[in-house]
Amino acid sequence: MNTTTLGAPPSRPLRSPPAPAAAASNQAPSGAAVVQSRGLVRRYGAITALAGLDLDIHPGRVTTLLGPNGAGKSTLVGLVLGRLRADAGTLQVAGHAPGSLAARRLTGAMLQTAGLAPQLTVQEHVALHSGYHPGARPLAETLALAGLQGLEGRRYEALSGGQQRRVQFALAIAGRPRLLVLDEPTAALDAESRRALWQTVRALADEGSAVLLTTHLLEEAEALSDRVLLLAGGRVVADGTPGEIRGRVAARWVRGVSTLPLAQLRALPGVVAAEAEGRRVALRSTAAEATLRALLAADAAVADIEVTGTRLEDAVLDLLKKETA
Amino acid sequence: MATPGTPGRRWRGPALAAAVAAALVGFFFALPEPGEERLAPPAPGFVLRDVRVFDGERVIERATVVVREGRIAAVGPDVAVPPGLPVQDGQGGTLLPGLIDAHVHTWGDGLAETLNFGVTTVLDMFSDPGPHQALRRTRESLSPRAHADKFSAGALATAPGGHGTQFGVKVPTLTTPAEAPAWVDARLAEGSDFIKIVYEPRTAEGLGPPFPSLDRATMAALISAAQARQRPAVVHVSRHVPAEEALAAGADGLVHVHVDRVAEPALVQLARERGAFVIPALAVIAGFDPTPPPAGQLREPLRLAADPAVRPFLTPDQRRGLESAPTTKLVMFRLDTALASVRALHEGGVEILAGSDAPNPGTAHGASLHHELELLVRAGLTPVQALRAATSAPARRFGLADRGRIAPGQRADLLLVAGDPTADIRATRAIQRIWKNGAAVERHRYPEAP
Amino acid sequence: MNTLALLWAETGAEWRKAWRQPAFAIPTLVLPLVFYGLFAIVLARPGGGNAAYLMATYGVFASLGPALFAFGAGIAHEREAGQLALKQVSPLPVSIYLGAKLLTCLGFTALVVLALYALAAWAGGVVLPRGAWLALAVLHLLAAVPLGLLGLVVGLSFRGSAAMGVTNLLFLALAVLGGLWIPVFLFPGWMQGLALAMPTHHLAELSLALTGRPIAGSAPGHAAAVAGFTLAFAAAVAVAWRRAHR
Repeated sequence: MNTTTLGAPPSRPLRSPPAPAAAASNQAPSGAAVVQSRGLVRRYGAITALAGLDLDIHPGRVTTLLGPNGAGKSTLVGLVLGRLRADAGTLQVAGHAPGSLAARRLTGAMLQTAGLAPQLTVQEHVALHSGYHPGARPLAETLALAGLQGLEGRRYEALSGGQQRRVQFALAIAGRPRLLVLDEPTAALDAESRRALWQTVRALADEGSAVLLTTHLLEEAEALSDRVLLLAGGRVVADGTPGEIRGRVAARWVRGVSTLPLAQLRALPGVVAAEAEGRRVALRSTAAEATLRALLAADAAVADIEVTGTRLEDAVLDLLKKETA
Repeated sequence: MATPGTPGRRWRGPALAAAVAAALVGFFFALPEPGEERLAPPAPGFVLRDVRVFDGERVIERATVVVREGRIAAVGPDVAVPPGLPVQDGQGGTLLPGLIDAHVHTWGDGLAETLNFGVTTVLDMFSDPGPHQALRRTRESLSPRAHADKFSAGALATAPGGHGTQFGVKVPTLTTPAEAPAWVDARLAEGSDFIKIVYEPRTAEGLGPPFPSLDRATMAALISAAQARQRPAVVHVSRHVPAEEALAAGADGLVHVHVDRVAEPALVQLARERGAFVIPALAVIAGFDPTPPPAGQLREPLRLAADPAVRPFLTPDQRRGLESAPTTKLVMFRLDTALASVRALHEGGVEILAGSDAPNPGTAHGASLHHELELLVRAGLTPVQALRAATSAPARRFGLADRGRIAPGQRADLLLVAGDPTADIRATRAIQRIWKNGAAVERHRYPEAP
Repeated sequence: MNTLALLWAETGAEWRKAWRQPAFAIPTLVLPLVFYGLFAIVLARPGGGNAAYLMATYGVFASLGPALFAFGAGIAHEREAGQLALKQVSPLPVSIYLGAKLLTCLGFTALVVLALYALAAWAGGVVLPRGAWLALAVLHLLAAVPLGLLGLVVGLSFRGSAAMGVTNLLFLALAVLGGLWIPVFLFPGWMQGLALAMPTHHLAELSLALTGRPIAGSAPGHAAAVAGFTLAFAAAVAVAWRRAHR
């Protein structure tokens, strides 16, 4: 768990003020939703994967879908890309039907389980996909953005898993897409590659692309997102900036090394939950200052105290618990 | 790799396409057309000195033969030996024209197998026209060759479901006289050198073979159509009455001797008056004859296979074929009846040609022609007459102008045998040397199968 | 990028993919030539017409390998390995993808066919009128269309390893029973009947007719059979396509 300065929410170091939209022709007039759905329904037999979803994804912003397995994230991605058809409701991609040629022209996608021809080189793959989109980025630029310099001549099968994911990322961004759909993009990437990718995604969003991201890494959602959609049971359970979601659950953590029994700690004012973390105890409190004062008074020997704000993780879990309750 | 639209590289695709197109055009123009077959030049030649020669008609006791570039240049007792050619000695043997088997069916290796016995030309009475077309283009050339030359009837003429349709080879059939000219034209277009007709009608009482046959009028129409196009027309018959009808219709010859009874004087006279020939194919009758041989003797095919002058040069398949040849319960196939018919025909002045009907059961390509010569002598021909029947006679009757004789200008298809076959016909088997198109042919020996 | 440039780029990629797969490239290119060299030249019978006959049938064989394996096992494998997913979300029209595969097949077939003709002409002594050589080449290339469609049915209907098995079976059946390796006239009667159900048999008979050889049945009849097979396979592809995209 990150510790930061007391009381301050963790910063998102990649946030920068929105840059003026790039001059590329495939940028939407800012504000109009690139993806728009109303009442979207998709079933698999008796299971309803999406039960009436309303969604707007705007350019220049990173929209993240969060949720446990079976929440409907992959289904929604499939619908947006036109790989699945909705059972009810409307879904439009920049005014076109999803999966239509016009929609595909302005979309770049990085899928969770996709493969590429192992015998072709990195350069051959990227050049080929660049050719699919009019107005694509120059080859060298795409390769640089995806961190593939030096690997141009290597065959896909000779790349590590992380490098292969970067190639797939390059294919997604090569066409300067108005809509960038990233399905678990940083799975199998090491920390450094992950951050580089975040940087690129952020830059692309600032250029004006609409980014739809799915991830189960809450750290990633926190670092990248302008907006988080929490999906559970086929519905949007929470919708807002990471800060807003975190704010829905007003609770903070008081941690320290204490020998007091958990039962006593649980009885302290404001405490809603108490856990032991090895030698440390962690108290979840809706009134952190009151809890802190009581702890200091109850245990003179308490050491290594820290007070942290809610992590998005906790907010999410909380909201999910509320939903399934 | 060029990114699309990069200036300067834009022409690489079209330039490559143009180069490929040019290469393709060049390739297709370089492929050989008919007439451009690459044929080796004829062998330079040789001289054979002091050898007895049967020149296809008569015997020259002692002669020198000069072969140059695939043809006979000179033959005679007083021929001078020209310089520059290798000279060989006749060593007391007899030089014959390469033998001609007047009735065969060739498939697979038959042409090579028959050459192994000194048979340098065959007349094929029914086989697949496809391979024949290819062979025909180079038949005229005098390039050295490892197989006999073939003149073929191609597909035979028969009724739907008639004899000839049972072998799995597609045979175009016909039923009416009106179809005959077109049928003959089609065969000639396919490459047939002559026309063969199957005629096996039932009697007026309905007796006869259990398969359909062309009727008499159609058979006659086919003969007329072939002869109008200057091609010989020969007929397959197996019984006396159809043989007479075919002769009456003007057939150039019969490719079998009838087997139902001995030839009667009326048939002999008809054949003589029409100038028709008969190819008795006694070898195949001998193969089918169920009569047990005299005590201590083998059946004819086995006797042939056991002959030490023949056996080593038969392929294992040929030996197997001869030794396991079945007989037929059809009482008609009696060698003695056939021999008596041939005797009557020959004594009645009808021309006899030697043919084996190989590779039917009881026969083998090449070897069975030697067997046929022996049987013809048994039927009453002299050895010289038998040799004529396998050399100059078939060449003359089928218009093969450059074969069948040893004379200046003739193709140098030759056979040197030990001894004197004009005295003992079996000497034809003692082959010392074979030449095809004036080039020596290596004779293959085959080991005994384990 | 205009359509033609797109097709050229995609064909280049497909060609490189196929060429860099020795398991595909070597049998496709080498097998027909080795077999032909063995049966038509080395083991040739003096006086037999083998070289011309086998050139006609092996030309069809040269078309069969690439078409079946690229469209059959190849597409099934690409589907299963997720390679098609990215292409499907891209603006690449399906027709360009299939067209690129077809052109690649034609390229491989052309290589084999040209080498085959060269072998036949200069080692096997085959001669044909120039028009016949050209017509034969066109036929051998066009054979990729019905055979490729058949492969596509397999590729769309079966999963990866099953598709490989089915493709191999089809390949053997069409080659052997169609009379491409052993001439059909050597078959027993019942096998000759089976051959009529093989599109490769009809293609082989048409090839033989173009070499000037008399064939069983009529050339228009065989051409009609090939056309019928092509339509049937195209319909089957449409059905399998719809099912695969459900």
